[in-house]
Order: sequence, then structure tokens, then C-alpha cells
Amino acid sequence: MGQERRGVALASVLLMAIILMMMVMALYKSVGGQLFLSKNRHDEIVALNCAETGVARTLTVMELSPAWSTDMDDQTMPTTRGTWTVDFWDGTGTPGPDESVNNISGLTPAPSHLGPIPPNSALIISTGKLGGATRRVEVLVRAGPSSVEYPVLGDGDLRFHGRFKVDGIESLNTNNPLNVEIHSTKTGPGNIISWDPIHPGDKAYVQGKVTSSGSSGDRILFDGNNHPGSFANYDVMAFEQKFGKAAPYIDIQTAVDAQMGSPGSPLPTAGKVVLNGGVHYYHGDQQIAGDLVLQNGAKIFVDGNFKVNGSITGKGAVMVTGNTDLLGDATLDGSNSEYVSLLSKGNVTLRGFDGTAALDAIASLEAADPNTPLGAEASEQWDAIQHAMKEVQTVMAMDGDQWVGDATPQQARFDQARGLLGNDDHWTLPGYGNHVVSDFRAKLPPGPTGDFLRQRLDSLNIYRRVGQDGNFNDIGWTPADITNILHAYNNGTYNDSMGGVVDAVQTKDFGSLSVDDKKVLDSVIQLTDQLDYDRLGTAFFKGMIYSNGSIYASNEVNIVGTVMTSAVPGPTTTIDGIDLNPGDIYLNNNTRITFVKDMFTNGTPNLAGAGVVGIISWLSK
Amino acid sequence: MAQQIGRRRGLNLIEVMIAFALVATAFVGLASMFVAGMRLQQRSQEVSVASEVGRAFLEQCRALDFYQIPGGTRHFDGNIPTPPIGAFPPAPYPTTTVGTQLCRLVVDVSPSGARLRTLKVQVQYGSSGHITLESQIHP
Repeated sequence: MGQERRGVALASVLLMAIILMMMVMALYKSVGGQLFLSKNRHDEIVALNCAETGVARTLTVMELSPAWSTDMDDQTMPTTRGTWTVDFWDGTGTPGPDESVNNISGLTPAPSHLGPIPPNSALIISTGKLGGATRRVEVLVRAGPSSVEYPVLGDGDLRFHGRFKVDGIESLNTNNPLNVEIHSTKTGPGNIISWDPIHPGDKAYVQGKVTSSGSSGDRILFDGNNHPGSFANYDVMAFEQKFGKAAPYIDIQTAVDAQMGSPGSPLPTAGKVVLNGGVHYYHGDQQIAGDLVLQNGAKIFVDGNFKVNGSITGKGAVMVTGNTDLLGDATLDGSNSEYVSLLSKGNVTLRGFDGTAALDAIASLEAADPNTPLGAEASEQWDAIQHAMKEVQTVMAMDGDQWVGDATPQQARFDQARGLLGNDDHWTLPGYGNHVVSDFRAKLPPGPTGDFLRQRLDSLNIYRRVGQDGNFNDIGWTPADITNILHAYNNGTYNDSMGGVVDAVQTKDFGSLSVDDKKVLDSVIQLTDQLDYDRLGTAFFKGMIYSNGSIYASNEVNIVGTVMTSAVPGPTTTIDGIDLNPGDIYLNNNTRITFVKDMFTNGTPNLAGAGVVGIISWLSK
Repeated sequence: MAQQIGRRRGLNLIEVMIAFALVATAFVGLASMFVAGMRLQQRSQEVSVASEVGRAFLEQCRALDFYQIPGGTRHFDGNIPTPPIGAFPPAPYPTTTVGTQLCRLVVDVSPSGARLRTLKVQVQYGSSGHITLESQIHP
């Protein structure tokens, strides 16, 4: 028995040692497993970043080349490990589960492994890899300019010369004021944003901030730098240095080239041109002698320079690969839904009609000769019109219970001024006759100056009495007529024969106005505000003006919308003696820009497929 | 019987000595493995935490307005720390503590095109450990 017990201690110790070793081995293996998982987790994060990089890069190439469908295999990251791959369906057979589908330029749905992809959209499938880790990202994207947020936005110098005003409203139908921002993304040397008065008393007004991406605040000069100490007079909420959004880059050449298959009918050399819907492509320089009216979202594409010696109105888009020149004397209306998107690869020149100066010049010249139609009386009538406009604006700026309704404190004051503007037989400003505007209109000479001013004066027809038709004849009215006028105005079916819309809404009791009535009220207030009393001859443009070059407004231009540049490097251009580089915006002498947020809330739908590619949704990540 | 008992005692001493020698040898090996295992576990935890910090940072960057990310080539060193420009770099730059682990972020941003920025974040921890994540961002 003693012999059998020998070695028991050794065996026990060995057994314990083996058990301990197994425990430590297990611990070691467990830690190794944790390390593997941790490393794998790290690799998966890197792989996901690679996949997202693939999406970002693909969005970029799609912006520059909307029809891009070249496979991008095993693309490396700039400085770290990992690769990404985006393969495209080549249009044959059925798209595989790893194949992206580019339907940005498509007009009909395209197939994908997830189902149909809508027009102007793309499905991007990006796979990122690092070591054994693979991550896959699927993204549905859609092309179209992003929402516009600034009334003036440029990549270059922003220069304002003479009196100017920039403000904003939520909507033409609500008239709620909106703080806006002027911004330049330029970071180089020199005065990036500047304002120079022309005359003593000139004022710069910005209902918001003026900001620059420049590295120091002194890149913004609003103190009349060229006239130090003379007449700095500005009203700006703040000047700031900040990083702001750049205007989206839109590949205009590619967008225009894509429409080669839809040639438009030859444009008439004279008279008004009306394009009713559809796509109209033109190769080479084009010129329109009269107005261009775009209806139902018509799109005109010009591969060359484009010149319009009249207005562009309606709802539609114009894309030009060269320079664009337009007179821009459009008639303003109170609708959010009608506006024009003008996109030009080259420079845009807006030659506003200096109606006030022209009229003053005519009046002063002909006042010397009492036998001419325009003389001292015309000059007095012109002063009266301006005075009446100022009165109307002053009263309309008051609370509605002060002037809306027949028994309100300001009713008589308002109706006197409105009556003068609307050729009202019942009301006019004391000391003036009943048909000041129509008498003045009749004295205007034939020719483009007269035509322009007549068109401007016609915009005053909204101030007619409710019981006057388009020719100012008394047609009587009933409460039902007022309801019809307000209803038609909201529906966009209002016309001259119905009677004056301003008087219609003013006649109602302010406390009883419905929601729709208040829309009309806000709209006519806004419209009145735009019809500047001392700039009646100014030119209007309603919508978006975008350029890869520069934008130059020569005189008294009133834009309801936005102007923006996204610079493409190119030579310096000289317009009216002003040197302009790509990205520059120069607004001269009495420019006014009113940003209307509602116009751009959903981007610019006229241009879907022609601009920025934005992510709609991440399908998997 | 007495002789047998005396022989057994001597043998037991040798057995115990051999056993001690074996156990000591085994413990030396096992202890080193144990220490290495603990170190690996620590490293695993640090890498995991740093990866999450880096991932969360890049997500924060993606949540920013694209144009709040500086356009030029910039270096933001959480060790110094270089002050942010506006809202960039977002939290948790320059440092964050997860549990007891202090992480410092070093962020590089550079343009990769007019509308593409390359972001690189190095998350440093301990005396010399770090992980690096990189991604490109489009508005």
C-alpha cells in the first residue's frame, strides 16, 4: 500500500499545473478573441468610411458628368488603408445586386435590383473593404439644385454701386419679412464685398447680414471706401466672417448638350416669343427682339450666346452655354408659382431700363417747349404718381385695422392715393384731377421708352376701384363681385375686367377677412412695396439668375428672387468699363433684390436633373 | 517497517522539490502569458473605444453643414489644442474621456475638389496608441 502512494503529490501538482495552464490558455485565447473582434470592429468602421467615401466621390463625378457610368473598382483612400468600389449597370440585362444604376439623365424609370429608379435619380451601391471587413452602402440620390438660401451669393467679388436694397419675405402670399444674407465664398485677397455710393444720400440697406468667407472682417467694405469720410450711409444687421454655402455647381454645357435631340422651332426675329411647355434646343447664338414668355414650365436651351431685348416672364427655365444679355423689364405679379430660372455658363448682363432718368430727361427737355405733349404738366403728373405711390406704401405699412375697411382711420387717405393711381372717378389726391395716370400715359411718346413706361404704368391697374373695368369704365359692383375678385386672385385667374383687387380687399372689414382674403392682402402689400414710388421706370426679373461667369446689372434692376454665381475659372471680362472675373457680381445704381423663400423651398423644379446631386435616402449602411 | 518509512520520507522530499520546481517553471510561463493576456485585453478595449470615438466624430462631421467644414488644408491638433474655426471640428474634439480612457483627437481636413472634403481623424490614447479613420464628405 505504501508503494502505491508514492508519486501522488507529484501527480497532484502536475495535474494542478495542467489545469492552471489550461485556464491561462483559455484566458489568453479569450483575450485574443477580443482583440480580433476589436480589430475587426475597427476594420469595419474603416470599411464603412471607405464605402461612404465611394458615395461622396460618386456624387461628385455625377455632378460634373450626369451620365457617368464607368466602374470605379478598388479605389484607394488618400492617406489611409482601405478601398472602395462602385460598379455601374451597363444597361444590358438585369442589374445585379452590387450594380449601381445611374438614371440622372433618364426621362423614364430605370430598373435596379431594388425595383424601378425614378427619372433624374440614381442608385449608388458602394462597397468598402479593409482586410476581411466589408461594408456596403446603398444610397438613392436625385439631381437638382439644392434649395436657394441667399438673395446674393457669389464665388467672387460682390460689388454694389449706388443705392441698393436687399430684403426678404417668406412668401409673396404672406408678406412675412425674412432676414436674409449676402455672402461671398471668396477667400483671396482684396475687397471681397464692397459698396460705393454714387450720390450723397445714397443708402445701402440689407435686411440681414453681409458675410464673407474671407479670413478677416476688413474684406467687407461698406463705408464708401472710394469716398472716405464723405457719405457712409448703410443699414446692415451685421458684417461677419464665416463659412457659408457656395452656390451649387451646375454643368450647364452637359445639360444643354443632352437636349440636342429636341430642336426648337426657329425663333422669330421680332415680336413676342411664347413657348408653351416642352424642351427647345438651339445651336448657335440666338437673339429675341421682343419679350420671351415661358409657359407651363417651358425650357429653352441655347448652345451659344443668348440676347433678349425684352423681358423673360412666365414659368420655365433658360440655360445658355455662352453669355446672356437681357433687358429684363418683366411685369411683376403676386404669384409664387411663376418665375424663371436663368442659368448661364458665361456672363449675365441685365440692362435695366432707366425709366426714371429717361422720363425726367424727356420732361425736362420738352418742358422748354409748351407745345409738346410732355411738358410741365406731365412733370407735375409724374410727381403726383410718385407721391401717390409713397402714400399708398406708407398706409399699407400700417396695421390692417388702420386702413382696411370703410370706417377705418386711414381709409380716406388711402383711397385718395389709390384713386389717383387707379384713375378712380371717385377718389384722387387733393389738387389733382381724376385721370392723372391715364392722361400722363397718353402723353408718352411712341417708341421703346414710351412702351416701357406704358407697361410700367399698366402695373398700376390693380389700384382701380373695384367697380372699374380695365378701361376704367364704371361697371358697378356687389359684395359677390368682391368675393369673385379675391377668389380669382388667389386662383391665378384674376384679370383686368374684374375690377381693382386692392380696392376689393380694402373694402372688406379687416376683422372679417378670411385666411384666403389675408393672402390677397399680403400679396398686394408686397406688390405695392416692390413698385417703388420713385423708381417706377425700373426693370423687373422674377426668379433665379445663376452664372458660372459674372453677373452685371447696369441700372435700376429689381429682382424678386436670387442671383448667384458658381465660378468656373476664365478670363476677366470688361462690361461698361467694369472688370469682372468669374464669380463676381456687380449691381449698379438703384438695384433692389427681394428674396422670396417660398420660391426656392423645394429647389428649382424647372431644372431637375441639371444640377446638384443630393441624397434622398440611405437604403442600407 | 521503520526502514521503509524512512525511505518514503526521503522520496517525498525529492518529489516535493521536483513538484515545486515544475510549478515554479509553469508559473513563470503562465504568469507571463497572463500579463500578456491582460495587456492584449487592455489594448483591445482601447482600440475599441478609440474606434467608437473616431466613428462618432466622423458622424458629427457629417451632421454639420458641409460649408462649416473649412475649405483649405487645416490641421487641428487636440494635443495643443488648436482652436476650432466656427463649428469645426465638432465635439468631442479636442479630447474626450470614455470610462477612464482619455482620447485626444487630431483632425486634418483638406479639399479634394470644389465640393468634396477629405477628413482624417487620429484618435490618440495612452502613451503612444492611436487609430486613424478617414472619409470624404460631400454636401
